[in-house]
Amino acid sequence: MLLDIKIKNFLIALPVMLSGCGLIYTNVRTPYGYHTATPIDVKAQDDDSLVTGESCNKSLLYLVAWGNGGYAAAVEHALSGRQNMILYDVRSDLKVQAYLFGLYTKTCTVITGRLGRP
Amino acid sequence: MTAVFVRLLFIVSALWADDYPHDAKAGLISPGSAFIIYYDGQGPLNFDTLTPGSLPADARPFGSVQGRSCQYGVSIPFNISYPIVRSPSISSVWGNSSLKKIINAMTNDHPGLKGIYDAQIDKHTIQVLGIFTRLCIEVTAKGFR
Repeated sequence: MLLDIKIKNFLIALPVMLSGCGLIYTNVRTPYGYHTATPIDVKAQDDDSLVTGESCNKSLLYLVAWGNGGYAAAVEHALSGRQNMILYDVRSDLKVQAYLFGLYTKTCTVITGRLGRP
Repeated sequence: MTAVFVRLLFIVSALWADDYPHDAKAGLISPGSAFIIYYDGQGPLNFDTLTPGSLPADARPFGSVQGRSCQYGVSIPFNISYPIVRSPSISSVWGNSSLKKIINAMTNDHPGLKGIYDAQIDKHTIQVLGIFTRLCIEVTAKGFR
């Protein structure tokens, strides 16, 4: 009975553990909002390249969490220095990798979009 | 147990909002416990920002702008027990990380700024031992005059 309660509490607490927070120290950036451009907003061409940007947070042993998994970092990675360009038709995804019950967790914001000229 | 449940509610509501992006999702610090002695926080709820195609005809883009504002929280446990999330604690939250304050700060930093577009909004969380929490809302965008 006591073991059942402990397992139940652990399963409830598991999403908290995997949410990218550390019990001792947390310093993470998470995505909140991004109203992206659409093809009508830019000078879209058929041969505009498709690019991907990724930004990640990591956590270790449930104790420490760090990283920059926000939209700004993912966009900067996708643009790769091409600040005069703009992303449009953007899709954003969340990629989570967790090993050994979340002892190490990596949560990444992945954005995929086309490069266009404003 | 209550703190875990409250935290889980925040996670579930955020996941629900991701399915319906037009729904508002508050960017407030979640209190560390159910015993809240003081809560005076403001955070973003929704901001349908402009895109390049919706700028006014006389808009003159002038490059990247950034703004940030923070909320602070303290959650002091009554005792230290394992797991920490099950320790009862009293908590307090204060600060203003609303988009209104951030946009006002941007306008002060860039005189003549009329608005922003292509904005990315991120949450920067720093937490130490679950006792002190700082939640900053960061806006990275392009400005126009």
